[in-house]
Amino acid sequence: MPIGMNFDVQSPIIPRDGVQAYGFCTRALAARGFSTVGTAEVSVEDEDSSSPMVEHPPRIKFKRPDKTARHIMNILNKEAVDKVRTERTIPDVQPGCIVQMRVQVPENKRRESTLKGIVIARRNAGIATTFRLRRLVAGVGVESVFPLYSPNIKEIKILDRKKVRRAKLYYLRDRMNALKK
Amino acid sequence: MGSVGNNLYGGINSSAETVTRPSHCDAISQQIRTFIQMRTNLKVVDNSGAKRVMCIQSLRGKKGARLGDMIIGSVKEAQPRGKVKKGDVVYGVVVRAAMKKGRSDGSEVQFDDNAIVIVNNKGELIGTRVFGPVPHELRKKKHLKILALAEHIV
Repeated sequence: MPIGMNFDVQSPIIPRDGVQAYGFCTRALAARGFSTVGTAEVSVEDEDSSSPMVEHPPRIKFKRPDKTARHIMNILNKEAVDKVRTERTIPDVQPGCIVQMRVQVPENKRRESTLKGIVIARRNAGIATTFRLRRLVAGVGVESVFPLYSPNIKEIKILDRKKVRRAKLYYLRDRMNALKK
Repeated sequence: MGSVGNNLYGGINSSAETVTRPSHCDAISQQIRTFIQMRTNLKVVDNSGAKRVMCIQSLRGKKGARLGDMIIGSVKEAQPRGKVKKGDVVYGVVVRAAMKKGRSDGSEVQFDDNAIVIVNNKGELIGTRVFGPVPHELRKKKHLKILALAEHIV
């Protein structure tokens, strides 16, 4: 009986509500002698097949994880990050590090400037990973956001690593004491 | 329920500063820094005599002025003997803004306060000294005199 086979196929999978209802529907419909059982079976299996985790017998085609756009973007991102990492070593800047970095800004002058400050935030986004540096410049607090893998950053040196219990240290904005905290 | 939670935290902290936990009340403790618009108080960082200026018009941008733009302001507080006095209407160039400004290399910069330098309507400085850091966005806006007098260029 086609209905019985349908039910056996569904049992090893984690049932979703839509699928389960469909299974019941097909049983009920077939009891009335409807001929839509065949089409219902096909559509139910299509719905199952959209989840790539499920192992199906090969007669049903399913979406390969390699072809999803998210997966491809992840691979591209990782490749870009690896390419930059092989060219120069970038230390692990975490919030709470006091870093000194040499930046070359071609925008105004080609001179290399050294910036020293504390990292108060880090945002992970693959190649666009940024970190936020807070420093005191001539008595005024300045916060800058830099892309970690930017080619303008020539060198990052970690001077000190403070123990912090937070990922984003925005409370330091209200608390600018004289020493370089 | 949220306000009760905030009160509890305020009681526990009870330190000198009024810092609330940023993780729980983001909208309150973390200000969203925005443009410099009408009624914005700005600090004056040159020796023209004024100390505080209130913006009455932003000369660029519909929403307000950003870093490097010119504004028209009214002097609210001035030093007794200076080139400008209280109540004057002056032009100013924004040299420090609390709102972040993006750079072409993907970095962003923001300062802790809003500050201007007083100029005349042609863009020439009235004062003779500039205090504090200035960004190099001013180079593109052709305010080279300010950059030349600055203590530190960010």
